[in-house]
Amino acid sequence: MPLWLLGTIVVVGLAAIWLIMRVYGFDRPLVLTHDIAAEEFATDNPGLVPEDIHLAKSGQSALIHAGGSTYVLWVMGQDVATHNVARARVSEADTGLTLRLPDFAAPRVTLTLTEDEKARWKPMIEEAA
Amino acid sequence: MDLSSLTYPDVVSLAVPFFVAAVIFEVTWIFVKKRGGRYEARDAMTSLAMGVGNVVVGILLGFITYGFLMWLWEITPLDLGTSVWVVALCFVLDDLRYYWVHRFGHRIRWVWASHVNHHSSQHYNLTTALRQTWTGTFTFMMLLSAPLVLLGFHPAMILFVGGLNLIYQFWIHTEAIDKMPRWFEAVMNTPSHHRVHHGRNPRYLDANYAGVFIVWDKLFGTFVPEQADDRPDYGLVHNIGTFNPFRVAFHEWVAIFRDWRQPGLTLWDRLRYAVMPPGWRHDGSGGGSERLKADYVAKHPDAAGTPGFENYPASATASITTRPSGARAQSS
Repeated sequence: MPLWLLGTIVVVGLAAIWLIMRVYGFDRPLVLTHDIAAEEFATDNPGLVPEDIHLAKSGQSALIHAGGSTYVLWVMGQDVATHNVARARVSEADTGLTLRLPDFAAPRVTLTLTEDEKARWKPMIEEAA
Repeated sequence: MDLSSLTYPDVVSLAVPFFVAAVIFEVTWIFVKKRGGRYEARDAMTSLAMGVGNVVVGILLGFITYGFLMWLWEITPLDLGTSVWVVALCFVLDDLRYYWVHRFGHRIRWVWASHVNHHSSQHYNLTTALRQTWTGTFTFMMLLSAPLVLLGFHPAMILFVGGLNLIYQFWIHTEAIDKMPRWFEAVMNTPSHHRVHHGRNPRYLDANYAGVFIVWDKLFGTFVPEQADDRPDYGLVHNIGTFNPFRVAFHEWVAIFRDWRQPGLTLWDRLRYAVMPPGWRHDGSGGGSERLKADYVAKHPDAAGTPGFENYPASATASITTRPSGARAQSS
């Protein structure tokens, strides 16, 4: 198959798939509850049980204490990712807090938080880091 | 027989329109039926971008593997020709090669660094099949094709049947098909068998490496049937937090180099960070699949002896006190 034809099929095909997923609503993010955050955290961190969960009002992130450490959990599409905040650097952003993590896969995460949450979460993260 | 100009169609490129159509069909099916799997837009686009990158890398670096195989072809005295039966035999033996490459891909971190991206989606649909590696050349797994060339299979034929193998594996990445007929499930790799392979449940870790024929797993003791009461949960044991294809493609390689840079390691430890199974740590703190399985059985003694836990007695005690570090925790 000529490269130009293959390229055209790929570009048009991917654009069509993207559009269809948008139309079907498959781009809506997961909204966390305490139960969902607890379950997702435990699944992603075998052997750890969440002891204390601070859920952001946005439903897009949570700060979790487990096994003597502090973790951040954030929504990625319909799923989540979690990370120990040890060695994280935290700074204020317009919409919440930005974490810089020592992780090539996820070096920077911005959490959407209210002003109250920002004020409460920042020292907790700094203390754990 | 002069096979210097032997060519076969580039079946993977020819299959691209089918891949696109099948994805559109599956996503529509799931939307209409409200069952049969899950799609997430950014996850799916990441998978598709990985697929495109794999093709581009193949165009740019494919000459390395092909050159190596052609060099072997020059020195082998054997030539099995190009009959249909030889192609069929090549397909079967190449699938055996695939089984071992895939098994090494889960048990040797250097190879896992390339393969991990295929397991990095938390979804299991047809786009997951296209979430392919960009760094396969650097695993040197082309060495496992050497016996086929030396036995007299032409490199072009080996790459042709490899393409057919890849196309076969496309359709098994779906939750829309539950089970195939019993005879088919017994011999062939199926959506059910491959869901197990992508599951991060402790029961399903390091299982079902087959490409086309599931018999290899049954032969080599790595087969685990899908359990109705333990539905696969997809992704890595500890998932990565990115949709960026470049970070997906290279994160485990970076993790290996970071581990190598730790101060105070012996050369032996540094080597083992590359060749030991994913999750291995020099200080014993890692969470390899054996430990995860043992811990699961310690917490769920009823699971001892059931599929996936045949070698894990109920008397085992839980060993993980800290979770596996970062995304380095091993695969599904």
